[in-house]
Amino acid sequence: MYLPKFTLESPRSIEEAVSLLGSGEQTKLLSGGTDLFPRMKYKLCSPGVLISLKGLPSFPPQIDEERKLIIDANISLTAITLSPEILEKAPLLALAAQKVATREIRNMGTLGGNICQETRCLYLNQTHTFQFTEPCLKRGGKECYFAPKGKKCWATFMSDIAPTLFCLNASVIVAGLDGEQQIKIEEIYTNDSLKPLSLKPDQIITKIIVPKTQSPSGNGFAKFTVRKTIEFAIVNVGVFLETEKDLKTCKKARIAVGAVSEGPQRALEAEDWLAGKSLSKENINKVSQKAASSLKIIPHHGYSKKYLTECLKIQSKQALNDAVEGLADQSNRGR
Amino acid sequence: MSELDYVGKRILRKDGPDKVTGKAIYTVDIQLKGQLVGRILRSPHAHARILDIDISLALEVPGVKAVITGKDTLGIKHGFVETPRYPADQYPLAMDKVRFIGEEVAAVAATDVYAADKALSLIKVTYESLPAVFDPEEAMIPGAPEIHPSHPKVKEDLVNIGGKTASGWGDVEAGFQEADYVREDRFESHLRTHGFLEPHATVASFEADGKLNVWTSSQGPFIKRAKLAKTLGLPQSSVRVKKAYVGGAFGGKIDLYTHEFCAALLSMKTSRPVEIIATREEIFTAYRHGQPMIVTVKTGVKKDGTIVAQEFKTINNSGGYRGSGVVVIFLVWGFAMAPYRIPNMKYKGYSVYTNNPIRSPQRGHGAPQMRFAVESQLDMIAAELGISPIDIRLKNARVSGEMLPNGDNVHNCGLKDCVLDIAKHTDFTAKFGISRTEKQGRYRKGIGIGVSAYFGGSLIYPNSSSVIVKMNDDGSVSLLTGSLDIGQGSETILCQIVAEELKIPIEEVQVFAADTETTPVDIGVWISGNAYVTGNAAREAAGDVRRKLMTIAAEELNADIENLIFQNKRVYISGQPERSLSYEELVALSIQKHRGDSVIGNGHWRTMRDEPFHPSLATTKGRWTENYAFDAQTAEVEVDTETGNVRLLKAVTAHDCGFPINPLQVEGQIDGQVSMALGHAFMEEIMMEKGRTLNPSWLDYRMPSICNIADSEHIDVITERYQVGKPYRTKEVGEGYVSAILAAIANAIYNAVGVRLFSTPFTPEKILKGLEKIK
Ligand SMILES: Cc1cc2nc3c(=O)[nH]c(=O)nc-3n(C[C@H](O)[C@H](O)[C@H](O)COP(=O)(O)OP(=O)(O)OC[C@H]3O[C@@H](n4cnc5c(N)ncnc54)[C@H](O)[C@@H]3O)c2cc1C
Ligand code: SF4
Repeated sequence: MYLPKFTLESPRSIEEAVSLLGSGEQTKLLSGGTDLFPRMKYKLCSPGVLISLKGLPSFPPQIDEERKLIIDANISLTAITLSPEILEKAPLLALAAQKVATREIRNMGTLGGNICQETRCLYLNQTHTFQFTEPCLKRGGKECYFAPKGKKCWATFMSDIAPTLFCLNASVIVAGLDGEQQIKIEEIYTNDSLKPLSLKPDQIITKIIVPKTQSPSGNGFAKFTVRKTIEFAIVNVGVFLETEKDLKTCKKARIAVGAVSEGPQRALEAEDWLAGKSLSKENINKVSQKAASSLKIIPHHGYSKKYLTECLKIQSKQALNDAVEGLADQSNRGR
Repeated sequence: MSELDYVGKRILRKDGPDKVTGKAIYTVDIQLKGQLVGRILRSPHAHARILDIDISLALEVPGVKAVITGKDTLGIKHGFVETPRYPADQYPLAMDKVRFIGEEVAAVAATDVYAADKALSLIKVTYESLPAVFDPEEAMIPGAPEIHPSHPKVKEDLVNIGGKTASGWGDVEAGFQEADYVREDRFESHLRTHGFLEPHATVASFEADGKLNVWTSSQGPFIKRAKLAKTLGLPQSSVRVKKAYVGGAFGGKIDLYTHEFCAALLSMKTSRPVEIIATREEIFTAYRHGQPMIVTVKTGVKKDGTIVAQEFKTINNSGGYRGSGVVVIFLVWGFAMAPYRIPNMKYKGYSVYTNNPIRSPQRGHGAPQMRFAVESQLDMIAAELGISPIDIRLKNARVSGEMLPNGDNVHNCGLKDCVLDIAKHTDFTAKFGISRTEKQGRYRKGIGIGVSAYFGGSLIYPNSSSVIVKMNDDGSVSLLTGSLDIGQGSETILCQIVAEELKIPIEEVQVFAADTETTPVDIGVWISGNAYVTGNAAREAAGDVRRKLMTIAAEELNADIENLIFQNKRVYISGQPERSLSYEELVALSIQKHRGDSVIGNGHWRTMRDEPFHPSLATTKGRWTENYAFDAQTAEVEVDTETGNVRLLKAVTAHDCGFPINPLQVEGQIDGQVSMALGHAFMEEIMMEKGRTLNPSWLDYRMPSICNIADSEHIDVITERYQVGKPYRTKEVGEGYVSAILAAIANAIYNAVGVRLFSTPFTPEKILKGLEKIK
């Protein structure tokens, strides 16, 4: 397979990038290209002009005076896993980045690209030269192959990293023709498989901001796959726990799930239930059940809803246990 | 007897340095002057009549040099099998009908891939869509859409039968009557693909003198030459298939593929070289995969586990054309009857046309499917009778010298030793005996066993191998063989054999291989016969040289032939090493005194040399092979009872491969097969829906990665010997070991958690379902 022909622009500033982006419909942002290029090879999109973010000024992760963590959207996933600032302030992000694809793809793939990736579906992510030639809804057609009776697209949003940003209560800085604005991470997602992101065509995510986190806190990330590497998640779960000083009572839990719906989801019901409760085995089991039964689950990539629900339960438990174990380590070290 | 210096030694691969340094030239590396790019138009319909093909717009695309359709061909059919009973059934380019999504309808040659693809998009094909059927059991029932007329010799009230194999002996009904315990089970094996890393690729160059030069990623050049010549209407002498390195094949690159035909015909049309490289997606969606199969097996045993009768029914899903479907239903009969004694047996196998892509052999060609069924059922029977899995296998295992119902002899059979040795090595009985109630907690371990037998080097075109060994003036050797090293190491072992026969350092044996014009005919690197058939041919050729050198040395040294010793490129008289001649001197002397004879040796070999034909695919009558390899394999698994995930912790293979010519390569083959079986068992699956592939990429078709590979241990059960100057019977080692291990894994899962699996793959979802049921 090969790429269709395109023109490559390498702007030197965000302003230049925004104005290039806003200049026509046929433009598309290019970061690491690990999501975009395969889609172009499949002819899922054929932008005439690619605007590369590689030439923009970059900066390493920073902790500002308010103890906020500021990350360049263009940081590679490998760099995330190696950054001392991220490992200190948002280890959850590094846990998730480490689980994406393979080292080669993490070297190329970026944070911005990861959270802005397209939704995926078996019927979609392939060329359509002789298979599935009739375009489905997502390709501008009228029918869906996955659920032929409905009029809805069910492609799933598979990012491993986005759910962890939900957990960290992160926001993004977006630059566009209308200037710069800070929006909460939740708001960049539409929960519409056809167009999963709310960003306008001229908008670029320039930074990711992780607010100062309450300490002590526990982090857990679980990603379930068949072969443990180079595979999108069957389901992924991020957990961020803020505790009381005893490190055993949950003050606030943030649990977010990916890969099983149109966008990342918070398990709000489960979070509320856990708040104020002890992080006992029993409570973790219960809250995992709650998370699994309260969330939307779309069967995807050949996995049934029933099975995915079971997976979600187990992976939630795994992530929660990891978070609790991390807390226990902290308390041991503290002693 | 002299010691072996090269054969039986752990010698590094001849092709290793080329591959590691990137020097190896594969077909995709061939770039000729003026080379064009070819691309293929494929059918979007699973079943349709072609009413019209309009290529006029495609021809107008700048850069397009030729467009071909069925009309440009001679309309000569080809097939994996071409016999009077099973004549060729497939056009190289569809003529009247298409029978699967992805079937080749037209091809384009252009100066670049953009122009070629543009042209493809402008070819207008008018189809009349026909009803299609994808499931073989549905396709068999009268009233199903007719893909091809049923085979005229199959008189049952069934449709779409591409072929049938029926065989048996004794009286199964009486056998079941006599049995103390009878059970019947149905097992299903799913669709997988070969997963070779090098895609299908061909470069064809039709020269002004009428010669067609072809480089193609294949499993042997001679069958390609024969089928290209036939379908293109060229004399075989006008087609030259040349060597390029091959990046794996596993059964998926044997007979003629349409891209090979199209590259050739497009080159003939344009008088320019044409390259066609299949995309990975094309390979996943439109090329040939392995054989999904339904196996029903009914077994009757005595109380002590002795098998008294077995009845089999198999159904393969052959796709839109016969492919190897009628072969696999024959082969699985063989894989059923070879390891165990079955006094009364009845077998019938159906190959059924469906509107799926065509199927081909895949490493093991039916053995994993059959052994999965038989070995799983045998464990169920053993459990029912309260016999250990080891004892029931020992009870029924064949022994040396046994005649098989088809007239074959198993000769030296190490099956019992394999079972005994592996049981001891793994402490099987103790591990197997841990009761499930003792296994608590989330992760539970289990052990299981399976056995298998595999044939080697059966008779299929071109039926024999010849080898030439030439002495060079400097005393080194050139080896000319038609055999193609596809990564399994054939060149290395052929060199070892020549080095051994001539006592010459292996580095001084140069190989010239796999060129239909300059190297002798070869059976090809499939049907698991290369080490045996081509190996013996190489031994004979080297022996021929040895005899010539010996004669001259005897004359010159005035010695008896029996007293001559060969060592390190010299011949000397036993006990008098000072009286010697170097090979260099001997070659010069031969030319001088033997009327210019430059010392060239010929050798040829054929399996079952006195059998004129291969066995009947329909009745199994006739000899199959003269060397059966046997093995027992165990799997130790760990089941995660929460997620349903199973991990293969350790595989052990006790193998009777006769005599390992290169133990390093034998182990490499075994490890490779264990990892392939692991993919089969747990993760690899071509997901299809109405003839379309849902996961046509390495990302969604999950081959095992290094993270998944299990420990693999080997136990040699050596039953044959290699002696210089004598024929040897080495057995198969490249295919059989994907089979028993699959059953062993299924049996180990049962041992761990009590979930019996009747279909592959063993997914977490199935395990969880099973666990839920027994809760
Ligand atoms: C084999 C393979 C395996 C993969 N496995 C995983 C996996 O396990 N988990 C996972 O999460 N992902 C996976 N991916 C997807 C992808 O590689 C990663 O998500 C990666 O982080 C994408 O980053 P990128 O920089 O390459 O994105 P690009 O391809 O450059 O961009 C992706 C999309 O985001 C847009 N975009 C990029 N940057 C910005 C920005 N700053 N502002 C606004 N829009 C932007 C682009 O226009 C494009 O539409 C896999 C991909 C492949 C090919
Ligand atoms: S779920 Fe969406 S992408 Fe998948 S087939 Fe339906 S419309 Fe297309």
